[in-house]
Amino acid sequence: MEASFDFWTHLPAVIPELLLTVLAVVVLLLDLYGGKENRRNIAFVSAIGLAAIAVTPLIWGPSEQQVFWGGMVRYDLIAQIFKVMIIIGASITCLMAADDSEVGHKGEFYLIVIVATLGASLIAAAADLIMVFVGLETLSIPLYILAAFRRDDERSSESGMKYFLFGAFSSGVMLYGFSLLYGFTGETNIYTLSQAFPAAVADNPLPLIGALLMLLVGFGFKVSMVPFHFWTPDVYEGAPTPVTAYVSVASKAASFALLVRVLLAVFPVTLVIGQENLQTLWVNLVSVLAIVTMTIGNVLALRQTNIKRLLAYSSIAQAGYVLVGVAAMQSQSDYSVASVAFYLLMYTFTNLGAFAGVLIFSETTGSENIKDMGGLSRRNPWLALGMTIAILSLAGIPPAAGFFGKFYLFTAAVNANMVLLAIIAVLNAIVALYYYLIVIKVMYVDRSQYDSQSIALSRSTLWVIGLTSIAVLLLGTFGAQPFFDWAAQGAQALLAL
Amino acid sequence: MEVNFSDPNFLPWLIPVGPLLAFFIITLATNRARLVPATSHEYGGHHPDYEGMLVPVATVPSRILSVTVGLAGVIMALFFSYTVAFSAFGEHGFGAEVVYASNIAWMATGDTAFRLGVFVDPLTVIMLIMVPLAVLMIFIYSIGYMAHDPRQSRFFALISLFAGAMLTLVVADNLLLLFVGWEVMGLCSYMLIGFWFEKKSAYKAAIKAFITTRVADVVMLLGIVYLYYATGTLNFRDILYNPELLEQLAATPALIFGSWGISAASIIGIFLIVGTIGKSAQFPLHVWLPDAMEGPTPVSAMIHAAAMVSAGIYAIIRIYPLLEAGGNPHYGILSQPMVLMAVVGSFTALFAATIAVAQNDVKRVLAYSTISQLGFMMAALGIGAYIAAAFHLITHAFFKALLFMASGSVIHGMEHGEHHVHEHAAHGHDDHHHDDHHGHFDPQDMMNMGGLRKTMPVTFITFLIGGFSLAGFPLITAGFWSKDEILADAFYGLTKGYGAHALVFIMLAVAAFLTAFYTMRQLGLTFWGEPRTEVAKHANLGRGLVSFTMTLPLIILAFFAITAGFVGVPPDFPILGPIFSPEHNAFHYFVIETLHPAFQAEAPAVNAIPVLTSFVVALGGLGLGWWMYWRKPLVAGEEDPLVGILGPVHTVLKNKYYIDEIYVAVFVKPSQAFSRFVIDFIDRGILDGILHTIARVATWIGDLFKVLNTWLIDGVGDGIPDGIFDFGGWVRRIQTGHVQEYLLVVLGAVLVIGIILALSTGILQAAG
Amino acid sequence: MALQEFAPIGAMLLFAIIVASIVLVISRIFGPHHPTFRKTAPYESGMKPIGPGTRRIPVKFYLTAVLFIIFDVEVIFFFPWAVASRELSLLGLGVIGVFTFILLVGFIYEWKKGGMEWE
Repeated sequence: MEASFDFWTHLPAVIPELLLTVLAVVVLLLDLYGGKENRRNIAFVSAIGLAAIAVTPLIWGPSEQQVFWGGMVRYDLIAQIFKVMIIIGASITCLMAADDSEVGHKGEFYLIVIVATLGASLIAAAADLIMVFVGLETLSIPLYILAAFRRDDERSSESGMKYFLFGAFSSGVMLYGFSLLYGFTGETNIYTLSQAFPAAVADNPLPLIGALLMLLVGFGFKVSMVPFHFWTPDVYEGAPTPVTAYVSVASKAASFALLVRVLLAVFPVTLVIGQENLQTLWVNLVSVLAIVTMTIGNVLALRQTNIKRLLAYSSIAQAGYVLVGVAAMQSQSDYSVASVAFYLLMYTFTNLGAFAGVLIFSETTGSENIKDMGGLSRRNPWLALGMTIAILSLAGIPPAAGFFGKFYLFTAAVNANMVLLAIIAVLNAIVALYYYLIVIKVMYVDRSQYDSQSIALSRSTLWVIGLTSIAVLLLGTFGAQPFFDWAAQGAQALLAL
Repeated sequence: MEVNFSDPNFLPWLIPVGPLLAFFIITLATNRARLVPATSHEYGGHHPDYEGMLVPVATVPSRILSVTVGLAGVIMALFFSYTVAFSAFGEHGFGAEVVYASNIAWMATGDTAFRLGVFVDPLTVIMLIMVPLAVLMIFIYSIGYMAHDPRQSRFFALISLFAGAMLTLVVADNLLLLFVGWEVMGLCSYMLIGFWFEKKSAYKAAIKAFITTRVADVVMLLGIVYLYYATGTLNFRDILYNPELLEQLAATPALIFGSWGISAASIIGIFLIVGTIGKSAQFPLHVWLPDAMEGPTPVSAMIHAAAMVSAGIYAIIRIYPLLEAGGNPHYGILSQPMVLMAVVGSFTALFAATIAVAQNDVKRVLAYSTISQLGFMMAALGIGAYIAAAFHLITHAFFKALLFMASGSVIHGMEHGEHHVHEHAAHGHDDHHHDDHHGHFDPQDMMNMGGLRKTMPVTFITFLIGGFSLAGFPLITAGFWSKDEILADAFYGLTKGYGAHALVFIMLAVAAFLTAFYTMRQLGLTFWGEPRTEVAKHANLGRGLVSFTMTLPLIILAFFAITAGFVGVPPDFPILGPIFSPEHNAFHYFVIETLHPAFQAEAPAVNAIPVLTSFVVALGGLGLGWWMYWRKPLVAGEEDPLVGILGPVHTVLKNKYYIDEIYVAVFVKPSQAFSRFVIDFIDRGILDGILHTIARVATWIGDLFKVLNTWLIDGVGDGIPDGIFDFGGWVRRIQTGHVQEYLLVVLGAVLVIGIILALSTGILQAAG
Repeated sequence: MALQEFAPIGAMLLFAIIVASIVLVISRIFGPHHPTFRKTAPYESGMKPIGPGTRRIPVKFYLTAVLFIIFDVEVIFFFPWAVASRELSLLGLGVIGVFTFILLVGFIYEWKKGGMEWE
């Protein structure tokens, strides 16, 4: 550490993380000393605490982008945007879990969610390979525990185990990729790596391709990109619903933040090794993976009968759409990055809303079958409305936010002259309409054996459904442009070196 | 952008919020209804189609909630509207230099953002004064009128949405938002006209209204799209306050029919006017409006006065400079859209007035009178009488809302009477429903009425005031001043020898005469003389809240039906001019600023001939009506004297020129036949074949993927053991689960991708 | 060429794959292969398996071991600090204090949850 290290100038860069640690300690102590009957209140403490922490990046926003803590974290607007997104996602997850009969009354659950959030928020800002890895593991290991949280449930244990094995494997591959990069250059900072490449590998890009591929395995696992997606349906189905919701939004958003940052920083446009522009390489690769991901996700989703599995495959497909935006980063990068960020922001609210609906539904009926959702509109119109908004957003129908999300992503692809990719994405979105609208149809038109059984909404679930629905509608109407502009600002911060 | 809602620039955003919020609250909060058998009295009696079914009836808490919330919403809208309006009156030069506007970037389209916002100029202000007031009156009236309806909360929700949509339309700063409000109103009118969907006639009317207006809306949307294509904006101020742009549009040949000398401005104008023809029920798309009487009476008032049809006229008044582009009505040069408006408007005015003469249904007379009055406005716009059209729009809204609600009171009173008669006749069985006259007795038929002035005096007096205003009774009614202004403008053109103006003047004068006549006929048949049936003898509103909420709006509106005209008295009018307009014609002075100075025109000086014409037609028509129906009122069983006088013409008029029948023969039947053909041959045969094939292929692909998925996952475990490695099977036996196979796939995928990448870059060869 | 520096690694990789494949393939092709039910049984030496293959082990051992490792590893972090504590001055002390506090909370948690109790 240098002598001139000034603690206070470095502090703002990690305020959310520090507060998350404090919150984790508080929650831990509350669990110990709060008494059994107050356990449920831990959910609210966590939710409110997280919501409060989500505000801090807005208050201490960075004036300009800079790396802190010895180059470990980068303090820029896009990192702050993703942090807000992740922490809000965690907050809503806690609120949602309050009424889950299996995890809601366990203080550890919230503790682990907070720690995972800490990891996610670290990788959103990570500027160093070591930080990336530490952050990823801080995110992943709690998630393995969370997936297996219902210890007595076979499916949950199995999903935790699968998730762990898969995660460990891809972490290992990715770590190998990191070590290759470090081996070539002797650098770990992702912003200086690319400058060291030419000296390290002369004009042969092959080692870099290997490293890139290994990195993609790690990130592909986290964002459930085909063919690294196999864990997704099993884990989504087996894990407790709040965990599934959390994995599908916060973990995914953080990983995409990392993916975007690493791809742009480590393999920038200007990087030409030999005759090969490395960027075209990964752009082609990501485009192909995007096509495969959304197509496989959508086609497999068509035949699902379990709502959580359906949402799992839908989340694979959604990852495919985001990859379209990632591929479009080859030109006009700020628009594409902004579209990715906007998509993830709206997807956070959308998917949380959808999973909250599923949670309430399955808590009451004990079923996760789509056909048992028949008559939901009569059993609880609010719930059905919230679900409908979320599903419309997933399907990309205005006035829900999903429309603008897709609109920006596909526009980014068109702007980048990837018209074919955009067309395939649109076709996929049309295919997806089918299975999304089926759910709405079942809720409003069909009848089921549970038809007469009404579903009650507790206050916390009402908040979750209400907040997410309002956010989705807001982002789909008046909020779209301001938030997109905000994300675009952030994108410029990401690109400015 | 600093958002501050005490700033009148932002305040308009809040105007539609109240009713829209009310809609959501009522819809979502009153979803629990009590289920009663369809035969129950609470549901309004026996419904053969619903035998043995349980039907929902609003509970008392949800009734109270819906009424309170609905009323609160509209009062909120009224409050904000008036705040905006009064601060606008205080602005110097409002409309010319100052307007209230704010907008947000809604959606990025290419390089520019489509901006969406609100906008208040003088025209908006007068609408903001009229619409919320009329709507509030309708709401208050509905409290009594719908008090016992089983779906009361649904009614209030829909009518709130209706009001919210209308206000959105009024404050919209661009055609797209206007169109959104327009379409939401279309939807609401559909649901409200078919509100009593147990009646076949009601839901048929709803469908008719919906489809007819939809036809027009599609054309209108074409116009909007074309306008956006041609100008790159839909903002009113940007287009209409920009004479260069309009001139340029008028000089550009249209994409279609351009070779026939039709300019882009004209074709856009014509498209938009077609939208209005549908919405404001002008010939030939007027057929839905009389049938729309099937809805509850407050809905009729809403549709005919405050909202829907006014919206149509408002839209074309709003875009008037665009319609005028390429011509100058004050020099007798009319652009094609204006000719269209003049012809359609004046024809509709006369045509609908003739039909109204021969109708016996109390609401139907008013429906045709609405069509006719809207024709007045349309014709006025067609000859460039911009202010006069706006003026008539406002006054008409007041007196027509009054007339509809008064007629609703009459019907309500008749039903009350019918109920009374039934009870006393001790028929025992209870087959009576609100407006549901599937029985033998029609409470809306004026032939069954007579003498109602005795039992319903307030209704009589207010109806009389509204009727006189409609007839344009000279000097003291609002209708006189606005109608007179239209005639004055038309006559001014006639003196210059402009053909269109002459046509409009003559047609409208005749129509005004007929208007006065059928108004007097209606009043005579309904209120004068002796009751012609037992029911009419007992017709009254009863006492209590119902009667209070139903009469209060009548009185308030009656006040406006008289006084609203005095804001637009010409300053040079003898005696009255100096009293009401000491400096200038207040209405004219204020509203003219809506237009760009290039389009403004002075009001013509008062001329004795049109004023006298107004006097003569109004008093003549009223006099003739008095002579035929008041001097010697009809007694029970007597035939309408018109039948004898007009003979076969009366039959034609009574059947509305057989236009419905013609439409059935020309459009409905052939399209049904065509549909059948399409279903039988094209759809079932060809399209279904194709679709089924596609579906089969799609399922097949889905199956394939499913197989592929299992094959990929299991295949690695099962397939490869038969190949080189006995690895998978071995792994499978000592471990459980499939994760390892997943991972193998991943590994394989990574290898494949890596090799492809390496090969594609040609590096492997180079390095090797 | 930089790639050449990695050539030995590549060669080794290739060699490993080839040797492994050869061994597996050859034994598959030339080895006698008569799978029967007995031979494919878990212990094909003829002993009948008695009872379940996995034996129950008291989880307490694991728990203690896991807890020990966690704290052990965390305590190791004290060493780098101790070595450089002079240069790190007061800030370093503060940071290690926070670290210790968090560790302490974990310890209390473990204690209160009964992780220390054998029975």
